[in-house]
Amino acid sequence: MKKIMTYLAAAAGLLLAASCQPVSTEMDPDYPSDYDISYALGKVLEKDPVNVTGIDVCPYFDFFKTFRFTIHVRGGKMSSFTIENGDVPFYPFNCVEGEEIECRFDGESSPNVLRIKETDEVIAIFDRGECYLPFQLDCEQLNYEYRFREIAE
Amino acid sequence: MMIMNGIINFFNRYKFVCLALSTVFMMAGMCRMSITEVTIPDSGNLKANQTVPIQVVGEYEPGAKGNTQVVFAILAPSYLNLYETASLTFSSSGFNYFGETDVTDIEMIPVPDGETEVSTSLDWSSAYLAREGVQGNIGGDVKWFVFRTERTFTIDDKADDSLGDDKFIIGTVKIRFNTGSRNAKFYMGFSFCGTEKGLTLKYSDTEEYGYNPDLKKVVPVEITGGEGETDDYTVLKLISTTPTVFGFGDIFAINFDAGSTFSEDDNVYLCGKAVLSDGTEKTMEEKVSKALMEKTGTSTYRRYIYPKDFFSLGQGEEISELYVWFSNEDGSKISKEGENGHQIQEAE
Repeated sequence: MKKIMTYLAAAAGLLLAASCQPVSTEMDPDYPSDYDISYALGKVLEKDPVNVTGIDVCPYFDFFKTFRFTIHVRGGKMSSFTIENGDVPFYPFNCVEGEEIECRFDGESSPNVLRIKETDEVIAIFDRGECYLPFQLDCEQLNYEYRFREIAE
Repeated sequence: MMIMNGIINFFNRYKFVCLALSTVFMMAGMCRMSITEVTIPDSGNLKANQTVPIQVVGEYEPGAKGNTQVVFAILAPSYLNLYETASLTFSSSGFNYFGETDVTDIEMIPVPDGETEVSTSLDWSSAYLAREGVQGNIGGDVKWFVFRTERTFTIDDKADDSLGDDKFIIGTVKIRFNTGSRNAKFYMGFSFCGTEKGLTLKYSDTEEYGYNPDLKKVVPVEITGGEGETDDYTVLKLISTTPTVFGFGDIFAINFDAGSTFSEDDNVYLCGKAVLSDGTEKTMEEKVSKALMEKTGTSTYRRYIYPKDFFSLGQGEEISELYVWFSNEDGSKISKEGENGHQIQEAE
């Protein structure tokens, strides 16, 4: 009995010691700090005053299949992004095809957003596990959202 | 004793009728929140290019205490642009029961941009559209034009208890609007509420205050003597769009009910003509996949387009007019209105 009690005390001591170790905030050194996250369009929602949750117009246009949005992570931080518009005949905002634009991740806003560096302009919103990009085209009463799906390229 | 027994027997026999009647009387007492009167000249048969007076009277039971501006909404075709062409005044009686001063013919203004309705957080026009819809105007673009008083009324339900809970504000809105140059047939809607509670619903008869559908009235209107054929908003068009409001720089669907024009086996293609801002015309009649219409029913079709892509326009080319028609694959069957086809209108 005494032997069992000794083992239990030793185990408890080990657990206590382990739980007192400070939690590491360092990234796993084996995990790459430079990588790209590539997105294709999963949905293109068009919202109007009647259809406030939006209609997915993505399936009606082949050109949406050619769109790519890439976030470049450098040193473990989202540092820039690139838009390849493919055959899509409009841009969601003013940008140059394939140009790498510097950005910053704003984790203090809720939901979290990706902003163009040194501006407040929001490029993408991260909410409930989804990444999306809101924009307008012509009529003020219509709002669009690119809903992204991550792809491996 | 015999009388008591008689009453008990009567109640036992007709208890459901008694309960139903008492409920009806209770509801009748509580349902004084409504539009009671809409006065419109010639029962809504109006002449084009005229300024028309309309008067709407409503009863409203406000919350126990609060500060509110009076809101009044009008449903009408968007082209009438009532924010520019209508003037509204508000008069009241009954505010004195709530510790306020009644008003006579004070101006109502369009709800300023940026103000939202409390229960939906939408702009007021969109909030009304979400709550009340288009009220049978299924054949064209209509809008809720929302106005309010500039004055805020401060209300205290306990200010005058001599009437108990039987206190109501009677509001009268006088509208003057121009009927415009077009011939049209539509349903015109009118509705009251307040900025404080907005369109928060009065869910049940135990919920004392809030919006209820009786605070809305819809009347048929027809404008004649103007330009063109009557644009009938009350019937579904053979050709419509989704959404109903858009610009030519947006994505939208052309919906088409072909009737018996095409057979079951026909592939139906969308054809179109775009008049550009410099006056040049682009026609698209190719039977290609981006023009092939999706069959949505026995005789109904739909095609989503982004006009610049559909007409293969270059950068800087802007569409000012758009016309559509429909054809089968070999062009032997064509559904086309007039010389140009059906004109698609963008939002003004």
